[in-house]
Amino acid sequence: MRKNKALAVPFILWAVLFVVVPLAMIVWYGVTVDEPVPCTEVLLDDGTIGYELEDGTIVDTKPWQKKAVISLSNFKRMIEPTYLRLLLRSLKIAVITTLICLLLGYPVALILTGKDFKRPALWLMLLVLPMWMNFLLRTYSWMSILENSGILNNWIASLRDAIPAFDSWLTNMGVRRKIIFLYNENAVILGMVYNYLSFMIMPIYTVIEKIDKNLLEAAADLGANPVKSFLRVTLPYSMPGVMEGITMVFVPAVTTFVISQLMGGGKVPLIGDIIQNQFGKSSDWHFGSTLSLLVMVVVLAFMGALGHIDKDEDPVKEVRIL
Amino acid sequence: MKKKWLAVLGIVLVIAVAFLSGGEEAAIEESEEGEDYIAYVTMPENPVPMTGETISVYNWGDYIDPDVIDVFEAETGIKVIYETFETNEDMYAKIAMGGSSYDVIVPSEYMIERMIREELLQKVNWDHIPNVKNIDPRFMNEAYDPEAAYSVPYTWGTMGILYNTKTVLEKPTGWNVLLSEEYAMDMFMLNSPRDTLGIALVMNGFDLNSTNPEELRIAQDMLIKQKPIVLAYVVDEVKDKMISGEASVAMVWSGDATYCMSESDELDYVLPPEGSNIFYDSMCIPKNARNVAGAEKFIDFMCRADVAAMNYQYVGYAIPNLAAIELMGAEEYNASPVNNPPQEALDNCQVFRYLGDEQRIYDQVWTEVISAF
Repeated sequence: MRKNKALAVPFILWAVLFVVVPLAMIVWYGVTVDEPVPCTEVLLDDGTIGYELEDGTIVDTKPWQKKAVISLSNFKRMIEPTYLRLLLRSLKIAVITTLICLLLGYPVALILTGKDFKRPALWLMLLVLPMWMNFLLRTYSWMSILENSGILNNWIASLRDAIPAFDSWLTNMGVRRKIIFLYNENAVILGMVYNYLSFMIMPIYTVIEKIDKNLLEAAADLGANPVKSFLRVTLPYSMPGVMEGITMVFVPAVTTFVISQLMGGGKVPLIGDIIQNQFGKSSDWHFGSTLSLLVMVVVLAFMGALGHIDKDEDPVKEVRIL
Repeated sequence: MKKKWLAVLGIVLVIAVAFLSGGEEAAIEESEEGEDYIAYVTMPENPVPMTGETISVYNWGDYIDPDVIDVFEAETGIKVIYETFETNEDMYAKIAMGGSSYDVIVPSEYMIERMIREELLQKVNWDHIPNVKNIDPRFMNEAYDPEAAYSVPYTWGTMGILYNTKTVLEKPTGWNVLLSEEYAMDMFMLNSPRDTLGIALVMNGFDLNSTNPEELRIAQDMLIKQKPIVLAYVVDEVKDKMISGEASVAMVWSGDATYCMSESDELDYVLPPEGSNIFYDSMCIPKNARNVAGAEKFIDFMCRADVAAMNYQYVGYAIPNLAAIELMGAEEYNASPVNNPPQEALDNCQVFRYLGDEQRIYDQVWTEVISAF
């Protein structure tokens, strides 16, 4: 027993250093604000004005030094409508992204695990292959496809030049010469779905693949048609994978920032963008941390709710009824 | 077994192609740079052996000709440890935390003002930097360093309008072009609180550094009203997008404008007469520098006419070094609207001041603008 504990030391050190300490720092920054160090104006002997600090020292110029003071003023600022609206928009976009990923990802995982499907490993690798590239590169590629001067618009333009009927039809429909695909909410969702889809497919695939094939055969032997055996066996058994997939898509989607800047052209800022601004241009680490805490609480609440659903589902019971 | 080999072969091919195409691009870039490149400075034939002395220089990314560093090392025997930063705030955080020591840093003007106030910089000993005589006095004694005691200007630039001459037939006469319905969904604004709100303040006749909530609210209302005709609020992407003709008009920093104009003949730059922001990046010595003598040597070296000229060819930002401009040919240098904006417009330009806590208003107002529906 003692041996096992010794083995855990590196992990505990790691966790303290890279999880507990940063978290504590965010909490500390979040509940404090910078205030100028307290000082009082005093008239100096030579007739000029000086500043007396708390410890009694007197300086000529007003001290610039700041002191972190515990204050809830950033929490008050956080619940202003501007920031709540941003949080709501982030949640909305994350939910839509997760749903689309689920609707696309589940069938893909199902097809890949189908017994008639040849070489699923290869296809899975092809699906994951783009993930070897940095996500910024992938997002930039989408931008060069969808831009006003991008590949898609160029194709449409050359089609219009080649087929006059197509051109006049589009003109009648009121379609601009250059269609604006980027710089709106839909473009942000597209960028996020593309970036996160494989995080949905992988866990679902792994779980479905592990389902005992005998169960499906038994279901068929007992007279269940494929739809019924899917609903009574595959679906309940794949729920842990679905839950994991949802978590793995939803959590990064709520906190994302660069994709919204690039695909949305800065017109669809998410809460992550605003947090990034606090640590960058606005250099207000305190408010940035307060907003981070808000997002963490929201994510935590979401995970809690999801964990609750997870417990309620008992696939084994379902199968027994079958 | 055979299939495995095929897969491996495929991967090797993909990697090989990736490397080959990468190499090709690099080669093209090099030859492009060599086109009208003049070697103002050459490596000394008998380089001074390394003395073991080092200086550490902390500068913006891609903001110095690497050859310049090599020449400095060969001429002085001092090794340069060169590091780069992305934003003034990153640089500030590193210096203020006190964890690392640099001998030369290159902050922008408002950050210099802050660092002077917070006693993070030391005064420059001008006796050790004789080449400061090359620097245009017009660029010294600015509000951020009123006695020219702490900083040596390295580059300067302005915020202006980059426009596509193919679609914008008449040269814009002022910032008002950014409100013109003619360029609806055809213009880029910067996603940057100080820069964009600053211009909006100027457009309404207010001070670039105003912290008056009422004035900022007017600027905010104007930008929210303008939002439906803005194609996007961009950051660094603006360069590639303007080169590819994504939009007709954009507000850009003059350094980026120089780059875009070198890549596309269709683009031109104008500094609006009603006023704008002028910025400086200047060399400074932090208070906790280890090798002040080496830092002074480096700064003096960078102020040398031939070195500044060589560096200008690489960096592309306007320089305050009169001797270097003369060396390169003032006529050619001044032909660029970026290097030589109309005096009237330049007179109306202001530097950003460090606003301290007042900065928070800008963040709030800017968040309102970009999150407006």
